[in-house]
Amino acid sequence: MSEPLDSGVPRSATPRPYVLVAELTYRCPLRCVYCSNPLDLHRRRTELDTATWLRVLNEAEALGVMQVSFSGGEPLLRDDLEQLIGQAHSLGLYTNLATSGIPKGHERLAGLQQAGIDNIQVSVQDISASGATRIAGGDFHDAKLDFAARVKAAGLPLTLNVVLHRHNLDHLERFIALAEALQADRLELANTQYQGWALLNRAALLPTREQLQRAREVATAARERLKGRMELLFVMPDYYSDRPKPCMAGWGQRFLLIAPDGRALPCHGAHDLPGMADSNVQTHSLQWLWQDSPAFNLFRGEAWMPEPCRSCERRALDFGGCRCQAYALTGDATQTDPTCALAPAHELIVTARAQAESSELQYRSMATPT
Amino acid sequence: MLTRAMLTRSDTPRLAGKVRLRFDRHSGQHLLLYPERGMQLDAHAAEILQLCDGSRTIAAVAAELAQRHHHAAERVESDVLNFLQQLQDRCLIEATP
Repeated sequence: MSEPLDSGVPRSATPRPYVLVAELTYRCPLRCVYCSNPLDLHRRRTELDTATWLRVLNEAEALGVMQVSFSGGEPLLRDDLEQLIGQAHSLGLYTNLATSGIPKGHERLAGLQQAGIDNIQVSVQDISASGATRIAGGDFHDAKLDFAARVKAAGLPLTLNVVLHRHNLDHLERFIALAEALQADRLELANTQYQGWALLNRAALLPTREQLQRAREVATAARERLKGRMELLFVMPDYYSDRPKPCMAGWGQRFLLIAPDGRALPCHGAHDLPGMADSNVQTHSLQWLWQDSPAFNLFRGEAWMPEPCRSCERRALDFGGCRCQAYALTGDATQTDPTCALAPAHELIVTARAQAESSELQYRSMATPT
Repeated sequence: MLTRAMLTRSDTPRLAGKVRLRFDRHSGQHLLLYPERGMQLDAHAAEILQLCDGSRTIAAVAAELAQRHHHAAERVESDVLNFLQQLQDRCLIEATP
């Protein structure tokens, strides 16, 4: 979720968080090869209890948060999901649920609706069950489609999300037709962000430039055709855009992510970043974490920026890109995001594009590596 | 290619199912909230959307606002129509004829 809230509010010295991403659990029946969760899931089994999540929601609202996105892992695996959504709703927050609908999501739809869920996001991995199974590491495709249909039948808004990569990018027309058939309110065509498991599988997932250009044409035409009927989002991947993405609308500017074990992070990819270890809601208030913690202040402002960012005219637009991606690729979080064509380490991206030919997929797992 | 759905004064608008209009106690302004996004509304925009509850036509919304603020009804109606068309294009409102 790296789109800024288009609120038009200027960045100030004391930014306000608008969006809380609540990753309730890393447990998940799916094993998607592009999952953004950290690789060492087997070492991250601790989960916050209900009382702590309720406190986090209260503190988030007090800080200015207006939206909560409940995600994971699979949030349905928490028995207190309805309670947490209910609390967020009663605080006046917009609530979004990112789920596969598995297990037994349809049995909980009425409860989720009663709790006040505002939007349900379901992702599909491909347009056929066999293609989807290859990516999700199990056969969940038909169950997901059934759940998505039930979301609409219940009168709830549906976002259909598709994470795009080499193996499904050529199916864009059929994803769009699927979204129309499901009467989705919103279709997110999101190119894979190469963090976590997706980085591990990058060589097998990265599409070609030709695939992307064609997909962009398809998406642009569909967006025009569906204007006013279905919201369609298509974002080019940063690996091919030659300018970095404005990750999270800037470090510690709008977004606040709480991981299942209570870690408070400015970005999905920040788990392994140096300086994040003590940033946890179990030991600190959300207010301190957001406003005063070293973690959230690490890359606020421009003082940390190296050249070419520091003197770049685009530095207020993209903030030097993603800190986590810079760290994952170069080992130095203060580097210019290598996806930028001006970055000293841009060769890493050029090489990755050239080498993107392997097809071995490594499935997300919570098992200890052997 | 289908032509874009154009609103008329006799359409009855309301917020799309995924959209919530919320007062933001921190800024003292209203926000339009929808998946992963939000839009800060000025007082005029908020007032228009509060009237778009599925019970009034666009003409009736404009007439109500014109009366409240002692403005020319025609001018208000054209402003309201333009504003709502933008939201319609972004799937933030739904209108029934």
